[in-house]
Amino acid sequence: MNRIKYILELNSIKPDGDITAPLAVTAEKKRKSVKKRAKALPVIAVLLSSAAVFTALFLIIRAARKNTPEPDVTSAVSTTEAPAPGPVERLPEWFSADLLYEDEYGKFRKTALNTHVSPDGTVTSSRFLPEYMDDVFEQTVLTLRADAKRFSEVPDSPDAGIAETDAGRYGEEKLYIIGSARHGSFEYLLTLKVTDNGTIRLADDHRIVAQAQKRGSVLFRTDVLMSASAKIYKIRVENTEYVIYREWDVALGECELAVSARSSVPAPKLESIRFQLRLDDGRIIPVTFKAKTNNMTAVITPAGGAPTPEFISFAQERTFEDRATVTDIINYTGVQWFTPVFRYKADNDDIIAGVAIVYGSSDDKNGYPRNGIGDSSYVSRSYYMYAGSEQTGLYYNPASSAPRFSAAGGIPFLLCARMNGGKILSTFALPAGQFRSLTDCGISVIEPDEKMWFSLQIIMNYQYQQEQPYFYSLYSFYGTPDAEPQYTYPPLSEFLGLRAPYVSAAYDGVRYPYIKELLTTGVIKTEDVTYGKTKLHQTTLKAYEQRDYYITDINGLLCGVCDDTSWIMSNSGSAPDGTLCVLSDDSGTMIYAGDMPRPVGVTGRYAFEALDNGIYIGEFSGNIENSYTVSYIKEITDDGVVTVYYPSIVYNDPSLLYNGRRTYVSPGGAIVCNDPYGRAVIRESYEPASPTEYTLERDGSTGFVILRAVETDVPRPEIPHSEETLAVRRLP
Amino acid sequence: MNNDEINAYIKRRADDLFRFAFVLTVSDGGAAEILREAVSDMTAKNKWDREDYETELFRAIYKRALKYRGEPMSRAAVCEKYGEKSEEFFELLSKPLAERARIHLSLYEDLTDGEAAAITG
Repeated sequence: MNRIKYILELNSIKPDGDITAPLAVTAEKKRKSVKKRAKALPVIAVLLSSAAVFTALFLIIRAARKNTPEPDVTSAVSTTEAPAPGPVERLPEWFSADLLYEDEYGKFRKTALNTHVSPDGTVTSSRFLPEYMDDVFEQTVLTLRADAKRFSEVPDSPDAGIAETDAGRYGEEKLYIIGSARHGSFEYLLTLKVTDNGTIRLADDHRIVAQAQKRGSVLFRTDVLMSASAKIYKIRVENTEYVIYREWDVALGECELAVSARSSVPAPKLESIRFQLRLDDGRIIPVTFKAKTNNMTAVITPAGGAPTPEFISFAQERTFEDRATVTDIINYTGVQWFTPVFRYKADNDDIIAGVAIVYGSSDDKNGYPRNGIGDSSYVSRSYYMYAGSEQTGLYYNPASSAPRFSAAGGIPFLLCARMNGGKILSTFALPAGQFRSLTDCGISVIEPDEKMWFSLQIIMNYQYQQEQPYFYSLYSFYGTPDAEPQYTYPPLSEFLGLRAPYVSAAYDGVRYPYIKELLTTGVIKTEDVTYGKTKLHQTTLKAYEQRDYYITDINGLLCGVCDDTSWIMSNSGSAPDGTLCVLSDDSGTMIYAGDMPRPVGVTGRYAFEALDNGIYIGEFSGNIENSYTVSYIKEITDDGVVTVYYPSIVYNDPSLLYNGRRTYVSPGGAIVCNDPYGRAVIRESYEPASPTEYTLERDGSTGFVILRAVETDVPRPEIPHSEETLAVRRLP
Repeated sequence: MNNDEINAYIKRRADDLFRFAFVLTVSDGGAAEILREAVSDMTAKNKWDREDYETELFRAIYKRALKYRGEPMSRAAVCEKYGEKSEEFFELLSKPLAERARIHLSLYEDLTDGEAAAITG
């Protein structure tokens, strides 16, 4: 089983109530009994007492060392910044001193204290709790002064460091953020967990770490500090909450400290702490924590333009797997942000496609965020859409809103990462024109103008817990509606070993189902069927149509994507199943390819017969209340050529009229909806006893077929069945 | 470790320990029971001061699970109490105890095969 999936499965399995209390009582009780036994042996206790002191000291030292990062996670200190191997770019740290985000850090602390990170770095509960939504925390501007004795260039320094921090609440377990650094769009925070009962102790081993507190400053005992265990949190703000991606333990005594002696205060000022973080795949990210740049201003820099209503949130949908994937892709590609929107399989690899933004230039990298746009409290920064020239702005309101960007200029390219076994094999840019299939999140419809829409779910915190989407945001991908399809698969007729019918060019604006070249995946079944008096061979198969670089079912509904060599079906549950019905006659000529009759309130099967130069659609019977009878459907063009329309499948279910289809009201009152293939679909009910004659006409301006309906009392004529009239072979 | 440290550790890891115990017993009550017993064992045998106390605790939980004879929860009961679970998850729960433990320690606790084997024996 996949690790992430397994962890998620277990996430809801928790003990009833607080199990720690009975466990703790057990521990306490047993420990006391051990002590009682020890009291019974006072002599031994005395003899061992001196050894116990040493043992205790040893245990303290060991406890401190226990949290030393494992060699494969955090490397030893290096005084040089070796370039990170691979494509990871060490981005400059750029901060602004005039923007402070104390509230955000307060939220972070609360988040971190309520979060558990499992040994593999998976955050098992990263939600920002609703009760903290409006909490306001005191300012935390932390500077840390370190043990100067470790540095010969700073003589006579006191054996203490000073940290300015908030006073906090009495007895509260707190996180001191003693430094921050950025890499890509992530922020690394170096934190120290303490308890504050007037005396500040390390939360892990209760040693006193601070001796005094004055004017909001904490005087640290650096002998304790330097043997203490701190944590690095790798975080990013997403949708108003801190998302903790990773957590590392580090021993402060084993890091590289840069100390400035230029400080005006007596103690030297700790300027930075430097680590190299070794990622799971072996790559190393050098990280420098700078105490003086402990703020959130690194998130964004100036952007052009004001926020527009076309925002898309970067909120990720609940899965930790996605978060890990996002992390990997960002680190691999060096983009600034990546929002996955689609996932599919190709050659047993996972392809993650998403929207990415990048810096436009080195100026962008080093620029400062612009604080405030108009009267708003937004801060913003400009980016470019991945692999394109379109500029976009990333906006962030530190007080209330999610980071989001305006993509009004379109998303010309998607960033795709090919992954296998959780490892990124390669990345590539995919033009959005080739990739208009973003169905993973929900609805996808291709409209007649072939503009592709997709929806992104935006999850808010309080709804996140119920896993309910907050709202849908629709966004348009610009396609190339007139692009020539590139067929790389055999036509349907060839696939089935049938002769293709003649392709009529009579109606430019109308496409016929049987002339389309379809992608096929396999025959489900073949059987002989009888429609009316006609015996035909019916083949049911999975079939899809290639349109540009996406795959639709035969009704034009999106199923997947494709390129010149392969095609991939969406794994979305909303994707059509692509079932196709092909009818052929005894001569092996395909005469119909189209929808299977849908069992929407219909138990019967419509029938058709070949009649006099036309098709008679027989009674449409079933369990629907308003079954109806359609008489003739035929058309004779000006030059006398008979065009035979094979049966339009008649529904009276409005839901089958997909968004985007064009509808007409015929003179007879019938609503005619022509589907992408020119088949007329009638949406109306008729009395079974009142046969109506329909005539199909082509609208010269649009090319669409209009069904003219004329009620008639003329009984349905008895026209002998003629095999000849069935096929369009009669056309020139 | 002193009691405070033990309690702090237990508090921090309670859910994880419970999950391990649950996977072994497939019982909420059983998990709580063997977890309690394992902690008692650790305390009585002064194993909290060992450097590998966590390994010892996992081992104690596993040993207690071997002796556990309680009725496992039904699939329906598990789903009712903890929400729908996948077929894969129940397949895992149906595996032999040692294999179940090794899989859990590998997937959830990220232990190596060798480390997991040291716990399951």
